[in-house]
Amino acid sequence: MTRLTHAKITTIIAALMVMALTAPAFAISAKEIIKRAEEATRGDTSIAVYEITVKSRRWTRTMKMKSYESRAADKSMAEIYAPKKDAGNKFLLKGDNMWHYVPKLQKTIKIAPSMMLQSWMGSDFTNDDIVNMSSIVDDYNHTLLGTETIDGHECYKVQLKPKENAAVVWGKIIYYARTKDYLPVRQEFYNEHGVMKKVMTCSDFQVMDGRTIPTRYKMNTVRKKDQYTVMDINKIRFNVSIPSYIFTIQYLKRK
Amino acid sequence: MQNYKIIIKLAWRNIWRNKRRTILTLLTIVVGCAMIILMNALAKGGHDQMIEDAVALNTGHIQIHEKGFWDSQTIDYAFKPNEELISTLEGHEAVAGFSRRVHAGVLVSLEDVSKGAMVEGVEPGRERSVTNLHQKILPGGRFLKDDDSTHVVMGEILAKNLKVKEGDRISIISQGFDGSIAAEYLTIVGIFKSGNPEYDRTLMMIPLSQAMKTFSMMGYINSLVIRLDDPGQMDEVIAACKNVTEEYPYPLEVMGWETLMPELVQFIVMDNVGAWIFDFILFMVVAFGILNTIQMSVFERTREFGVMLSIGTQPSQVVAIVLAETMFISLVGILIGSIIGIGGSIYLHFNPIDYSAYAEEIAVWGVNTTIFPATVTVANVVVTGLITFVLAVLFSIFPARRAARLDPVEAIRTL
Repeated sequence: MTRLTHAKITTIIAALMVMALTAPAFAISAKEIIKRAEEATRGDTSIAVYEITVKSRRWTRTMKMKSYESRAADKSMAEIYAPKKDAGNKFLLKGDNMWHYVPKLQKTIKIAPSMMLQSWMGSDFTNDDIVNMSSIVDDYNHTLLGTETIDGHECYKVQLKPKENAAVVWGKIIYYARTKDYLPVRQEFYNEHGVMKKVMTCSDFQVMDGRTIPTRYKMNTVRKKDQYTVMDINKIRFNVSIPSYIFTIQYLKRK
Repeated sequence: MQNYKIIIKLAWRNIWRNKRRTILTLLTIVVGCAMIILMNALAKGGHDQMIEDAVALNTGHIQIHEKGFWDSQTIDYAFKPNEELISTLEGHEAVAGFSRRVHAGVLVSLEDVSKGAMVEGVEPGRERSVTNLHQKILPGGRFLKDDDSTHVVMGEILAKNLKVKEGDRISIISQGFDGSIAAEYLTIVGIFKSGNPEYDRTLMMIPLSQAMKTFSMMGYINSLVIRLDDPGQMDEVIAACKNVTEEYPYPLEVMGWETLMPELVQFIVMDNVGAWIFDFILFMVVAFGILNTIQMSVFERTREFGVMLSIGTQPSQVVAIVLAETMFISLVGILIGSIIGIGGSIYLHFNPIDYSAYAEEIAVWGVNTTIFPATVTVANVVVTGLITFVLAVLFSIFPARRAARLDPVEAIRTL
């Protein structure tokens, strides 16, 4: 009896020691990492000028876009202003809803939920990528898988699994954020069968408006090897106040 | 030599000795043969008509695209047909016409109602020699003309879903060939009822010249649709096209209707299997009918065969007599049956079975063919005749052998 108890205690202690050795003692929770990454790259609000390069099988196209985002209010508005052909196309995002103003038709079109997976402006980003970015904190359960070195940066590897009732298209996202400042380096998007469909890499870390941020976001569709989309941040200002009329359908129709 | 003459003479006389039985046997073969020929002719004619309808409606006999277009059905896959390709098609005597097309998936909307649809940019003039959709425009509208611009014809169900009519203005939005936003207002000039539910629900057509502008095609097209005068020459035309397309800087695909519409091919194959089973049953009915009557005639003549055998007729000669009888009857039966079968087929070719009253019920199955003519082929008649003949001979071997193996003494005593 006593001998048996003794053996048991030894086993438990051994098991505890093994667990203590294998479980990484991180000082920060997985959710916190994602939260800080979002906060660091997007602020509460931001006004930015992007240059978007779409490389497809046949052609390469560059567009310029100005975007107003209020992460806190879950709203954003983006306007294409170059090239001339696409100029005036505006996109309004409010929560899960998306509207597209088409200057040629002088008409606002509501992007139906069924169109969320379609390509946004012919790029590798889907409408959903553009809209649902903000839900990355709230719609997923986060697990810290460890650390890994990606592109020379030491990164936390965080797994994001959608919460039960979340309206999310991905089955899983693997998010790599730098350990030193939580800035995103790489995001892998998996479908419900665990197959990697898209990869976004963040690079060209620079100081803009007093913050270090990645200024180049490159999205690759795994199946389509000869195409990608790059979003370069040319200018960005954080935490400026944006008048609320910007985030209205009426504003979309203004020249 | 002498023997053969006697055998034939005896067989001939036997046939006419019991006329009623002979006529019954003959009728079995005539009806069987005629039915099989007619059924096969109806199947062949129906299938040809279904292919013709599908080809004439929108698909054409042959399509040329940039490789990958047919699988993806996206505007990205496009090519520029070169001079050589065009002159090859213009110069080929089997080609009835060809038309360039642009394909784009679009969001079409009228005020708040939006639907997904497929836009085909077509050459209105040329399209008339390739497809017959221009004949399916409902009264009150018209097909596209060469000088149309932002005009559109659309399927009946799509129009109903959007609650639009001729003269209304709808908007389309899509992605252009260069990835830019393609948007346009279009005026409806016609609404078509093709009979094919998919086209009626999703298809819209605009002039190619407008599609080139709207979708920023830069001279590229998505498909070249070819209609043939003689579908039998499809392989030659495909080969001629491939000769040119192999020289292209990027790979093209030249596809015949069988690859464009595999579901139609599958349907025909399945239908043929059903027809063969039906043919088999008919053949068996004929074969056992012959077996039965020949068997009876042999039984009735047991005494006669006994006499023949006892005066020295060889058993092989007895077999030959019985077989010769069957051959006579079946040859005549096949001849008459074929004439009736061919006659019936020709009648149904010019007076086809018309199911157009049930068009809507048929359309549920995705078939828009409502008129089923018969088409009789030489192969059909020859094969049917040969199989009937072989079966008749095979199935009369049993009774013939029975007659040859009779014990003469026993047989003579039989009444």
